[in-house]
Amino acid sequence: MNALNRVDPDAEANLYQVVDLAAIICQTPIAIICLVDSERLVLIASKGIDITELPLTALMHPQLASG
Amino acid sequence: MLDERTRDSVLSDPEHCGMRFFGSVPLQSDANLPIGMLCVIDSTPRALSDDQIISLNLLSGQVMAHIGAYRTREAIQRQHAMYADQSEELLQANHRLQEANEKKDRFLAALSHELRNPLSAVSYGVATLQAGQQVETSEQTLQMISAQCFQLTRLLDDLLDISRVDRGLIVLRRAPINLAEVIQLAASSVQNEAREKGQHLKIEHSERHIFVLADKTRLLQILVNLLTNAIRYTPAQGEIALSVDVSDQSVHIHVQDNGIGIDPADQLSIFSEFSQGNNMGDSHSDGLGLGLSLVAELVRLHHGEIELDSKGVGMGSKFTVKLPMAATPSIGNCAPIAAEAEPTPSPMLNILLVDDNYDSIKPLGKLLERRGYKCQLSVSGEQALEACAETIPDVVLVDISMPGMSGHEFARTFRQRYPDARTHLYAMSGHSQPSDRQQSTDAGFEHHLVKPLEIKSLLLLLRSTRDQSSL
Repeated sequence: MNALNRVDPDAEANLYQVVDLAAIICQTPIAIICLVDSERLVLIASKGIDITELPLTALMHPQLASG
Repeated sequence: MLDERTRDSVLSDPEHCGMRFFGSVPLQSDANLPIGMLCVIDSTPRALSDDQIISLNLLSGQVMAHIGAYRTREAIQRQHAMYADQSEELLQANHRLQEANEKKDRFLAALSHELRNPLSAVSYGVATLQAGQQVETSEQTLQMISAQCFQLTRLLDDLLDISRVDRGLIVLRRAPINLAEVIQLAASSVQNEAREKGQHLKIEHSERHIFVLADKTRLLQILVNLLTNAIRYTPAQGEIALSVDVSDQSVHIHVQDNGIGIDPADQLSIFSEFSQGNNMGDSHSDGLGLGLSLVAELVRLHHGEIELDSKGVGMGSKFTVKLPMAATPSIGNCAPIAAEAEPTPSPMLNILLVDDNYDSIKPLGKLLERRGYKCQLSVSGEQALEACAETIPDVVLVDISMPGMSGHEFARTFRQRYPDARTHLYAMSGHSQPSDRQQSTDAGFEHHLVKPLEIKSLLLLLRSTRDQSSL
């Protein structure tokens, strides 16, 4: 998991294309790709929001986050 | 309206992005484990159409493909780095092998040169003898041939010893040795060489008995090699001195010459195999540099040290060997040197010589006949058995490696066929390892003689055999 947190530049560009597409398709201002770390969500690509991590509870049901 | 699922999130905070809607699809690893999410977020509540959800799922698959590709790439890069390391190691190993190979080539070239010189001297000498000459000239020629043969034997011995040291096969039999005795032997074995070059060989050692803990044969080899080296690299009329002094618990043996000396740059490598100082011109190009490396190894095996002191080219050299001193020895270590063999004729001993190399047994047969033995020659084991069928000899001297029936086979067959014969079987072989000797013993030989045969020892052996037989 931790290895995935280091994303190489080529893959990063591709992931930014994915969030752009997701936002366009769903017509939302914000789209993100995040990976679940042991205690947080790590954003590896995002559109419309400028953060790199979030608490686990930010996008999950409490029971999902604890599960 | 606040989406139920977004109520507690920090993102719902109007200060943040005022999230009122979020839709997500999981990112699943190869093992179908959720490792993350692809999310779309809006500040107004909404719903996603089926098509949009399908699209998000497709996109999540793409994310995994990118991450997977990255992981693969990373793994490939790691492997490339590893391969690069390995290939660097291989290149280095290859380089070392190439160097070793070149060293071996140089060594072989030097060796063939080294072997060719005495050989051509010998064949030249033989040709002169064949041409027929006055008696005193042929005496000189014979002396020259014998000296060259001695040189060749010593060279081959050094060569074999070096390889034995390399393989850890040399085992020292250390005992308290009277140093004066060994020095005497060493000096007498190089005296002729020094005399021929008009050099003065000076042996200085105190009268009192100094005992060192050493293998006598090897210590002799060390001293002879150092003296030979000094003689070789010292011009005619030069001076070579061997001296001894004692300090603490060690004995220092110095071999000093006023010869060509050794360049400081070469002094470190002089004890390594096949090394010969660079400062030596063609006139000094004989020698393989085997002698000194062998000396260094033998000294090391004795837990001793060797040092070289030379102020440089043309300044002479001084080698010092430091050996541990032995405690006062028990009586009986100064065994008298074995009595010389006398040419006592022994008319009754029948000897059969067996060797596929007829040229090597013919002169030996003649020599033994001159000493009063009766000799018969065979060039194969089969032929020898035929000869035995006629008369059973008293002694059979058999070469081990012969085409057809080997020496071992001959001995076994002979012992089987004539179990009651009191014949003495001696093996002759170019091999002298304990395993070779054991094989000879197993085959039924009483003695294992190493080629070239030392005539004196052979005569002694035959004489004692004769004495036994006549009992």
